[in-house]
Amino acid sequence: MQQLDKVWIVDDDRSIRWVLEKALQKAGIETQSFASANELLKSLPTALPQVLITDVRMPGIDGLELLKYIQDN
Amino acid sequence: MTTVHKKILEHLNAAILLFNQDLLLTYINPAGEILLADSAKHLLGNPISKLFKTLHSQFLDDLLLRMQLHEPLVDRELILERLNQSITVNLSATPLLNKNELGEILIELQQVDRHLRITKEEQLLAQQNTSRLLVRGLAHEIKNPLGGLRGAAQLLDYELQDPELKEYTQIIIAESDRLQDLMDKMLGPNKPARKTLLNIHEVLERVRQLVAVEASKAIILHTDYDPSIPDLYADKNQLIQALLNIVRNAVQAIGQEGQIMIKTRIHRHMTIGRKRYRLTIKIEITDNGPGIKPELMDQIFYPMITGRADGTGLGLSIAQSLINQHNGLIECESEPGRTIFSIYLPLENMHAAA
Repeated sequence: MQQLDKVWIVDDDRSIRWVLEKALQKAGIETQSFASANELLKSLPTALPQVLITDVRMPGIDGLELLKYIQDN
Repeated sequence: MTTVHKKILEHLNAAILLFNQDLLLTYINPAGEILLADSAKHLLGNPISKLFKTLHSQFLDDLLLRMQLHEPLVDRELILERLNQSITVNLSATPLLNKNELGEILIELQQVDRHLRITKEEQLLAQQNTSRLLVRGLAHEIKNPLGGLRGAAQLLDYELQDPELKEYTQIIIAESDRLQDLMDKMLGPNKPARKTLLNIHEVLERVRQLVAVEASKAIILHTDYDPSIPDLYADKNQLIQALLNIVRNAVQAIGQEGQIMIKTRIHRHMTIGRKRYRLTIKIEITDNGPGIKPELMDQIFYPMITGRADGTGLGLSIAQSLINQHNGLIECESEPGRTIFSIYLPLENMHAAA
């Protein structure tokens, strides 16, 4: 099984981002957080995570639109 | 009176009545006959006090005084009784002068019931929509930080070894869950309705059984069903939930001892949210409890509004959003000893579900 070492987190709620980061980091997983889908898209396509955890209901681009965009590109 | 004038009078939609100085009816047009539900033959010669017997005598005194002062009088939303039925009318009275003295009194009546009713329903629907939007917005705003709060407490809980300290985090987690549960209830049904063809009495009987088990034996549940009501397309569980909340409310309002009546009827030509339905089911749930406090009356469909110390104030708000999902409407009228919740469900969503 591939070692999980990079997870991206997208959530407009700071406390949820924080909790997810902490929980994953404790398990030795590297994380990167974004407060919005737009912010994440700025990092594309130079890097890609192994796993993306995203909120659905967010201002601007929502979680489902974000997944579709990543899939299509 | 010329023929033309007479023709005009006879074709007016407004009811026109003419009284002489002795306040006896001397003329009434056909619209007036319809409004008072009697023929001119019967009505002519009757005194004003008899025709408008349900108006306060105070009102008639005022009217007469104004006429004698040669001033017109306009009054809105007066209640007139006719044949066991009350109608609401706008009235305007004009003194007709004859050589500067009061000759006759012209009274014009316009029925406003239907008009009033539609505005009232629209207001109610608008109020219900606003309250739903408000609650949804608020509940979502609370749910997010709540997730963070619970998560942080959980992480802290893993770190702690001392069982005494774990008690603290456990309380934070348990209370967050309670709040989360409340928010989910406030957000209402998140599942779309699963509509099937069902009989409304099936639903009401289920509700009656559930309530009969919970309620004190001294609360008597009566039913008065119209068995000819056709089946409707609806989500059975949602209807049970909505009606259960209303009947439970009635039980709680009554307290120890009292009666509840569940009545069904067909209601024709009903406008709900600007849409006109030919057939609707009207379910009336009447209790003989103390009634809803007048100051609460306008707000009972808002969440968190409750007359009971231990109430969550969610029952009616949930019932209302479920009934709205079925394009229906809930209305309420209350006085001490008699509170009626009327639920209207349109019967014409048949093809929508097929």
